Amino acid sequence: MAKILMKGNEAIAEAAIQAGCQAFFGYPITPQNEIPAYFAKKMPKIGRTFLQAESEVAAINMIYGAAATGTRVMTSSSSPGVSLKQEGISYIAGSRLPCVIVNIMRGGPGLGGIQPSQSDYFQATKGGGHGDYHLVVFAPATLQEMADLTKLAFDVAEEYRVPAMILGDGILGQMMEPVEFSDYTPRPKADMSWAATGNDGSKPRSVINSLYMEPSELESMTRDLFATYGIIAERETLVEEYHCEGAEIIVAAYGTVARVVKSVIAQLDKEEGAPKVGLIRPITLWPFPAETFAKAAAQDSVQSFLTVEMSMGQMVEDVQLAVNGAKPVRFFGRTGGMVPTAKEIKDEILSICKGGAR
Amino acid sequence: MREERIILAGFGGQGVLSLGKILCFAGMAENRNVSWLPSYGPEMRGGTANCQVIISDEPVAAPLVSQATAVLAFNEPSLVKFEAEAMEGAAILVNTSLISRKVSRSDVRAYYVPAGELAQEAGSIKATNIVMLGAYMAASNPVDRDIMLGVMKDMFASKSAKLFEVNKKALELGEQFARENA
Repeated sequence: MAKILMKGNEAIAEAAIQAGCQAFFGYPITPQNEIPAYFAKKMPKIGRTFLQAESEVAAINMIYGAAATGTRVMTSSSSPGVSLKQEGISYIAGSRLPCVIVNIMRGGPGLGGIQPSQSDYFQATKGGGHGDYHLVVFAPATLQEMADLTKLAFDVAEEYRVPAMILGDGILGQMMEPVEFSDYTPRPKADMSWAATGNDGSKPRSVINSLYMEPSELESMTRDLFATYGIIAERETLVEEYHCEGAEIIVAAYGTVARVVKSVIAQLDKEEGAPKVGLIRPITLWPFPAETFAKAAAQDSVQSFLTVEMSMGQMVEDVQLAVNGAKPVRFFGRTGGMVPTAKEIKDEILSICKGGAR
Repeated sequence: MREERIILAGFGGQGVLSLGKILCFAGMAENRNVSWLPSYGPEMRGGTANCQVIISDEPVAAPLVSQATAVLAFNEPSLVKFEAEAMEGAAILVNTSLISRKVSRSDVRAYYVPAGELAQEAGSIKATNIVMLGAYMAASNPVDRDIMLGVMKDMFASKSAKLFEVNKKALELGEQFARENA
């Protein structure tokens, strides 16, 4: 299949359709509107459901209901809208239902702005809603990954009966790049016998529920959930290591920022006497590739780490935990919709080399 | 390594974003790597529109353009805003149909193109963006000319043969003007 030039938002929607997504429920918000627009155009033509809900809260509860029947479903929004969905997301996680939630981040807090941001890292990886749960969080950096990770997110969600999130930013949603749709090999269909699809009395009732009045039952349900998370962490962690061999400074970045860092590394490679810089790019933000960071920290050549984010510093906490004091971890960020420039990141790297303290 | 980093900017409706896409299609037809990044937000209607396009032999890292190899300014605010983003020796193409000021730098190649008038001569004011493309092709040769014509044929001839002819003429007039007024 030939490569198609499309927007990141469209790549997500097309990939979801190809992955067999049967229904999309959402509510408009910039900068992710091309996702619902794409579904609105395509879904009715292939006998599937697109519905613009009356609110984000309604949309996530429609997802909850549809997911309970074992149907592949997706919702998408941007930061303030994803905040509104949090109650439903917690219920979905508590009810052990698979679904895919897309957050194309914009600046916050509050209504914030509409320009790109990564300031929902905590919300995506540390909970967001109430209770003991995680989302599997995928952070694409290219449009090819927007497509491939969307398909993977559906497979992973069903395999482990957990909600998964695609966490992008406004640039990835809005930009265009060629995408190839035949790259992904689907996983074998998961056991969906738990789904509530109607019952003629020939099998036990399917109960989809997140309410446990007996604390010991809730504890045991939660322990099961976390046993699953352990397996997910073991099997599904994804990370890219770029130019890390012999690097003096390792930059940690994901999404759009990781692309800017790659531009910086390409520039430094051409300069004589420039420090050797590597990049660790988490592709899953949860589970976090802590082991990769720990191994890099143990590397003799590595002097320090620099985390760069479009936020005031969120992923940097996970990097610090993983590095565990073995080497200094510094931070550089822009926020509010500002994108760190290659020059800013380069200057930051060079100031670290000069021993400049922050 | 060949890499074109292009900023295209003007009013919404001048075909700025479409021209960026045409450049991407031509880059793809040459089997090169491309990216297209628009400005987005409330400035879309009646306000300014711009996009940043990269066509490169290598995979595109950051889609954000710094050190632009070309700036195509369709209106005056765009020239004011983006001329500083051009690298030394870059081509700055100025649509003089709407811009009266001059480029304020001497380390770049400035081309002053009456794109609106030339588009009307080609048959439609709507071909302004293709006149600018023609001038840019003559100034920097970013993609193969035959490949570009092929892309334009795919885009325009499917709508009408006349539309393609108008745009082909617009491309030629832009090229010719830039060559004669370099």
